[in-house]
Amino acid sequence: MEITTQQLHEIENYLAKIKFDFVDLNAEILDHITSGIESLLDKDYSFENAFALVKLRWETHFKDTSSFFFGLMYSDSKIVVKKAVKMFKPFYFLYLTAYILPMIIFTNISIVFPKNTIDFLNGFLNSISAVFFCYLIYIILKVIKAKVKTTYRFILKTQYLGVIFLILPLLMGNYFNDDGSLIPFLISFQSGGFAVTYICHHFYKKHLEAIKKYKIS
Amino acid sequence: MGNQKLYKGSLQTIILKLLETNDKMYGYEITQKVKELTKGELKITEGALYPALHKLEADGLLDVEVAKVGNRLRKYYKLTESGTKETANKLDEMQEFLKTMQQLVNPKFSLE
Repeated sequence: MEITTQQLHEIENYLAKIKFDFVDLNAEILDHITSGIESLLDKDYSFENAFALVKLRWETHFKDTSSFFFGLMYSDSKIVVKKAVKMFKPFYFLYLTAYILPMIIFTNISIVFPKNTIDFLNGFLNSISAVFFCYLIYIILKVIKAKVKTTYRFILKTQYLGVIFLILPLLMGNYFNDDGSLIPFLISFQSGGFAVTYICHHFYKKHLEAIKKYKIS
Repeated sequence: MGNQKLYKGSLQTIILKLLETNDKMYGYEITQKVKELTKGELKITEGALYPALHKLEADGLLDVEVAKVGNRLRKYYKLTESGTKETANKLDEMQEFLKTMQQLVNPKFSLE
């Protein structure tokens, strides 16, 4: 038995009340909950009882939870965090590699640059950092301004602090020791900052795609 | 009811196989089909189903189609070309796994 539009609104209100308003998940979960209720209506349950039973089953999936991959300060519905972890996991390892690898390389292998090239290289590295920094800030502002929630936006929110990785090298301005060797931690920070910018670019694209896909439908 | 943990690692294969047989399906339909085919032995929870579906979609193995059904939207999943190939690989792997398990739990079988 198909539920009425008024009953559907009741389910939508429930989802809105628990702040489950992720456009990439909402329609699918609403359909799942509704289908569950409809199958109970076919077994002669009242709408109220069927809804209460289905809500009970879904309660655990809507529970606020966090993940090691994003840190304890970021939490949302279990079903959102689980999806976010599946999407983010490969990027987490990319980010770790981008941060740790330069640190290991430049701590163990001393590459000394001629003094006459240092100013040029500092300028070059600072320019790239500045471009990445501006792009990252652009993404952050766009996402905050849009306010539409997607799982990708949740991931993006957890990456905002990565901007520090770009700010610090920019503030220091100099990536070289007096002897012309690179300062490992600054190169690591910059590399980590590039990785964060790439991750944000990827998920921002996904965020826009999700909005387009589910808002138009 | 069987031990649900034993089925956990096979969830993606189950989904791919169902979609190979049924062309396109939506989340609730998948849970009900699995329940029906296994006579209630295996119940896929929503918490396990959707992350698996979204991972398969992100990996390019599934394509989605959103359609208006009655008074709401419904998201259908179907196999992509690489999804069809991956289904064949996963099913082969599963056959191998079952054969190995059979040899382990049924020694008579392995002595032949």
